[in-house]
Amino acid sequence: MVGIECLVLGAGQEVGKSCVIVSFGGKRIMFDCGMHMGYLDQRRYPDFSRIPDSSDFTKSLTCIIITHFHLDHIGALPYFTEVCGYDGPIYMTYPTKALAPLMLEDYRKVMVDRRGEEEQFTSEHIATCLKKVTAVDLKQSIKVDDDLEIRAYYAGHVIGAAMFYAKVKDSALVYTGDYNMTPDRHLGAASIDKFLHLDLVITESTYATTVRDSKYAREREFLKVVHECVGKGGKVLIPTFALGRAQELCILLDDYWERMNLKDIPIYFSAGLTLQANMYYKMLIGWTSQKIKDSYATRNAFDFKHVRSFERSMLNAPGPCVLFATPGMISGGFSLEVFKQWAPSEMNLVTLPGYCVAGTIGHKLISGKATKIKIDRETEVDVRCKIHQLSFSPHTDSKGIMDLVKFLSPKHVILVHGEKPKMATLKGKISSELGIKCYDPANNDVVHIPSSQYVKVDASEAFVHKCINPNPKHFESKADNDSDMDPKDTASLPMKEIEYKRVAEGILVMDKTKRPKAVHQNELLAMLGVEEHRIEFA
Amino acid sequence: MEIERLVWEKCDSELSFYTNINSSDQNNLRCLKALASIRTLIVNSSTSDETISLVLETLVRILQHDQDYIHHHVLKLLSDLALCGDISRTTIFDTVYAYALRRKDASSLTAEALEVIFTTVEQCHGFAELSTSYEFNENLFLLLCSSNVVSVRSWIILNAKWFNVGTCCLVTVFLGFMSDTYPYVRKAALDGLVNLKELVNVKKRELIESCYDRAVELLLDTNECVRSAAVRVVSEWGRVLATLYNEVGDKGWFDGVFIQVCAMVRDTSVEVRTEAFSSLGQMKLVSEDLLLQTLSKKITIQIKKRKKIDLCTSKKFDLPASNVAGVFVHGLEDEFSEVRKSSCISLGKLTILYVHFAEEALNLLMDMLNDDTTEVRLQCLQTMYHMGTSDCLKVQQLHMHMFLSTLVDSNTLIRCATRKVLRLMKPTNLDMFNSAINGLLTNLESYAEIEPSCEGELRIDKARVAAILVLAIAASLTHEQHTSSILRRILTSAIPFLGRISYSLRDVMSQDTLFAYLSYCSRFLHSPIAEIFGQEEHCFSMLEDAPNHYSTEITKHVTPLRQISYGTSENHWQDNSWDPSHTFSLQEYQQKLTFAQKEATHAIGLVLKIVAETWPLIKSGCMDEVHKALRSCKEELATVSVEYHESAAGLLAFAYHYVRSIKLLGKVWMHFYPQRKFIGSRTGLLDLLVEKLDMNLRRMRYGFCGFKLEEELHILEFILLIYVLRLSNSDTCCRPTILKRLRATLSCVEHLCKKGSIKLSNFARELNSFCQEESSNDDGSYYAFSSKRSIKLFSLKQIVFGEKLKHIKAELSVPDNDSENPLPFIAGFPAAISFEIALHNVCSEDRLWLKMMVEEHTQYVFLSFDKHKDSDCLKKFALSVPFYTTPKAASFSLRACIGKECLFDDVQMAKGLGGPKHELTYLCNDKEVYFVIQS
Repeated sequence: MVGIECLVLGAGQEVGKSCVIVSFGGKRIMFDCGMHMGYLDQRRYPDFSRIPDSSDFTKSLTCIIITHFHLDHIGALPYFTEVCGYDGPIYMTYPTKALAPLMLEDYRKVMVDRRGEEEQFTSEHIATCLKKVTAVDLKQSIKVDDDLEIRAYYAGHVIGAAMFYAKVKDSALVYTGDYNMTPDRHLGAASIDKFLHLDLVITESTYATTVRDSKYAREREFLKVVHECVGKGGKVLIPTFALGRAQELCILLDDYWERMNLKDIPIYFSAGLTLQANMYYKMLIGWTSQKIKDSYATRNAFDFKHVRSFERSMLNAPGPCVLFATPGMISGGFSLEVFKQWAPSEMNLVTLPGYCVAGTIGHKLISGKATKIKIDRETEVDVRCKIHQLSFSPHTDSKGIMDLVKFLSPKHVILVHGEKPKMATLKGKISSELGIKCYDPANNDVVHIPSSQYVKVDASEAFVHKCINPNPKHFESKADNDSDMDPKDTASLPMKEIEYKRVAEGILVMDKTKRPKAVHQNELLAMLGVEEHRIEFA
Repeated sequence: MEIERLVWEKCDSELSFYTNINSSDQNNLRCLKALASIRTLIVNSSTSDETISLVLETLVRILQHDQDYIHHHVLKLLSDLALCGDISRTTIFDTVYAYALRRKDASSLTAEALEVIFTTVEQCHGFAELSTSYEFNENLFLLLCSSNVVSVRSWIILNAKWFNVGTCCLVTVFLGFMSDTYPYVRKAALDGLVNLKELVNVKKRELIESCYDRAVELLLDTNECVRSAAVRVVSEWGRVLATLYNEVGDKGWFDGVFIQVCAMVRDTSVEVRTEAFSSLGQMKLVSEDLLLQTLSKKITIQIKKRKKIDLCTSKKFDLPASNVAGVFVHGLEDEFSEVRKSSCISLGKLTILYVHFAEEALNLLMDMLNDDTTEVRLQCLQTMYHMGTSDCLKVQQLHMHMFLSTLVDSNTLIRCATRKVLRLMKPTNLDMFNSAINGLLTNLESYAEIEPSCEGELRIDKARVAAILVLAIAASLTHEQHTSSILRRILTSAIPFLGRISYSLRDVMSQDTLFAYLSYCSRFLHSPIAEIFGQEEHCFSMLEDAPNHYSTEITKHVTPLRQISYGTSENHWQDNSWDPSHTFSLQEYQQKLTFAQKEATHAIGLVLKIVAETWPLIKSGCMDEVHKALRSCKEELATVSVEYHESAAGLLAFAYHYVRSIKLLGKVWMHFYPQRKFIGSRTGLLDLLVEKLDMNLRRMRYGFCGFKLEEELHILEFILLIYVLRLSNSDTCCRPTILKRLRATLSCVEHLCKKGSIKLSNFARELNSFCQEESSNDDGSYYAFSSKRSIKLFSLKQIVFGEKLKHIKAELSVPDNDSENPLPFIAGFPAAISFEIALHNVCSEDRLWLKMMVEEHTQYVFLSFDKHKDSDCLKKFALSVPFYTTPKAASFSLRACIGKECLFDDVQMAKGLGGPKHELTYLCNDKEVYFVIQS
């Protein structure tokens, strides 16, 4: 089979349930196996039945590659392996393997225990599924089988996120997953080798048209509002998800506290997932940003100096403080409880993530200047506190996508994980500015692209030797007219003109084995088995 | 000696045996062993010259054999020999040169042979030294260039400067090497191009262009070291080309090169990115719209519309202006601090070009103050400072919050740098001014930084600023009575620095006025100054309970000051100069004196402490820091006022000498333990330095009296160190004299130690044992003395010098004589000079001499002053002295000064002139006396 066939099972012109099946060189790889958080029916999973030979997934797929632990990239994995019966190799990075069970278990609990839904997969399913996973390191080349080679590259985004390079014979491609081209306080920027000779890049395009400002402006805004609030004795509530943003903001604040000598004002972490997550971060230092890696020898940046753990009794203790609480969009749980207490005071501040799902309190707070918010039938909260919307995002912006595509210069680009109209704009930009063919398939579409094939040529030793070493002939002296010049007078150049000539000369032959070979001209006669004849004129 | 001979004989026999028979692995090994032993002989500095010359002979002989396999080692040994021995380098050079020519190939041995000459010449002499008898011509150069050994190729590029090759040829060769298969050769070629300074000589523009083009191609090389070298070439040569084209009116080139380099800032390698950013800082004449685009990732319409720039070289490169979008945003956001730092510096350099660009750039820079690395924050502040000095720092209200927050940063360096920037900042409106002042006050509040730091400077930038600030605060105190709203600490911490504050305000008021004022103000404080000087509570309690009489007196002083603060006429208070002894009661005046003296002593003590603390720095060779610290110590001393205090004045004079001595010690130290391996032969300078230091130390020892035991020991050990340093340098020593002095000083130390029953320091003990050894074997071989070891034992202790120090000094004057009014004389006849002499703190045991010098002639006169029984500390008298050897000239000048004999120095001057028996320490500066022939 010549060419690459791409079947987009999820995240085609939408964000959610990332899943792309790529078939090339006789191999079939599934990149990511996510679930859509917006649906509760079968639409939440990719339509696995579209995979060719869907009766036996283990036979049909060569391997599964998971880029990072977010549910829209890994959520359907236990279902696919344990319920659908896939039993082949699965690859992900070490941190992803470590943190994925936390995420999956948390999700399962929310689904089953709180909402009382039908169980899609059990805790045992998660455990057995992750036992099948092979963990990989960055830039470690893995031979999945004789032909297929894969390699992970750092992607930023969240801890352990990776882009994957896959190569079968002469065709190669990169699946980026989610990535971030600018470093933040705790993670580095995505980085990948340049000369990969790619046929295809499948990239996310969450921010297909946005060009973001300097991250410092965002940080400055955030620190300013927080500092002003605690300076006046107010309390700051920062609802976040447990992994990622919480650590990022906490490092930012901890560092600022240190510099500004704000030792008297406590920063609290609400117990639970976040503390556990911090422990994982402490162990996964190798996957964080350069600064944290550098300072690790003296102090682990996740050993926050000013952070203490929170107890419920402190909720109404007097004096300023900063509190991190889950979940991020104040959709319930502890952050809602705190919000109820603190929102009525003008002195306090609530920061919200850049994106809140409709229906959550976070969304209500962002969308309008709500003064009263109904939490349930009986309770209504007076919102007098200040609201600050964070614009931190772990996704790259459109310039970052362009930079990466330009850097890798593949022959084709496929956009996934984005919104349709914006993707179309980016697609136009990539084809016009970079001259690279670009596609933005919808879910369940198939894209065929041609792949490259190279003809390998053997080279004889003499030929190679001639190519790599310079030869006195390369520095040929031109006939110089200035021979009568005073040689010591170096100022009146040139003394002698030198011309640099260098070419690799050889002869390409193909014998009965049909393997082409480049040989040095002196070898030709011997190779052809012909005697040398000289004609001399008397 | 015996072992040396044995080693050599064994080596020699083995070498002569094995180099004469065929090589086998076993022989090879034995040869190598023998050569290794020879190396130990070479590097051992005590090997005799005889052996060394035998070694040389043997090595030369081996090179003439055909056994290539050990030639490499032999050449290495020859190189060592040339570097460390005193033997004739010419022999070595001749041998290796002949060897290189004989080989006639481009193997690595040829290169190594030449390398022997090059390194030796480079490290031992200088460029010019290489005689013309060795010719490194173009043919040899080209031969080596075509070597198939990679290391030879990169070697020849690095050493091209030794060959007599024209620039054009050189550039062509480099151009060739830029396409070499091996990355390190490519990198070396690129580096070679950058280092070619005489580009102007290359008249052929095509050649430069093809180099530039090739470098641009190498920007996409697979190896990062090649890419970063290529960035340098593109930027350097691009600028040369751009200037050339600019002369003929093609301005697009500057932009073109800029865009080209901008394309590299997103490289995956940190090294390349850092290089790219520092190259961007070098760019000139870039258009403003391009520069503005570097600050924003969003592409402006202007840039979109911009034509693609076509640089007309042999090749065309794609140079879309959109390349520059957000370049500095990326740079400042980079994950690696070195990249951020480099882009910070470059951004600062470019701001000089356009005002608008500078304003925009400042927006980005301000945000950098929030960086997580101190280094970057500091660099950012430095960049702002540079912008300030070139007058393009336009801080806006928007920036103030971020900027002022660095004033309370926990890092001292950051705070200091911020205040530096703040000084250059021009607030555009009152709000900004107010917030700046508030920021400064918070700064003071959180960190009372009026104390001298380790560099000895006043941290609130200028003493004067601090002083005025203190006044302002004090004024508001007296005025409003809202004492709680003013931070008490500010004022209380100001009072101990009374001397310094009054010094910086010396042009507007006297110290006493200020003191009265501050004491008055302190009455409003909850608990007065006594808080700080607990033991002196009684002094101030009196002020508190003072009868009305005093209060009114003080208020009288204060009124004019308050008027200063409220801006009434200046004359009013300037005319009122009070004599403090009139307005103060005698008792109060005395108190004030003790108080001010305490303060002065305290300040000097601090400085002395800082000076002593520089010792580890000197030892580790950080001379820049030492100089900086000492300079500020000196400045600090200049602000100490000691008007009425004899003892403090003595201490101050001592401190000056001490600072100077340490400074000299630092310089001398650099000679003995230089940072670089080879330092030019500047022994003449060293002699001078050591002499100066010695003199200075002698002044410290003999020019003061009233030392405590430890103090004297401290100085003596210092002097011992100088002797040891002198001894360890064979060039500077007149060994016996120094030894003699050393012994004398050492016995003084021992004596003192015994007297005070103090344990002898390790350093002194080591020297003691050395002296004993030295006297036991007088055969003149002093190799045994390990100066390094004893120096290691030395450490400059911190000593608190007491207040009882008295400065022994003299004042010498000749009334009615200067260059306009010379004294008359008759050539050849004695001339009489009447001196007026004032001696401070001289005791009767001191032997003082008046020394008079006219060119070579010196005449000493012994001063006996027993009969002048004035007060103990000051003796004044007039003295008429004949000067005998007046020269035969129309006029001359004579230098006179007073010296004190150094009695403890056991060195007697063997001069039969009836002069002093010991060396002199001078107590005053030379006084010139002018004579003119009597007509």
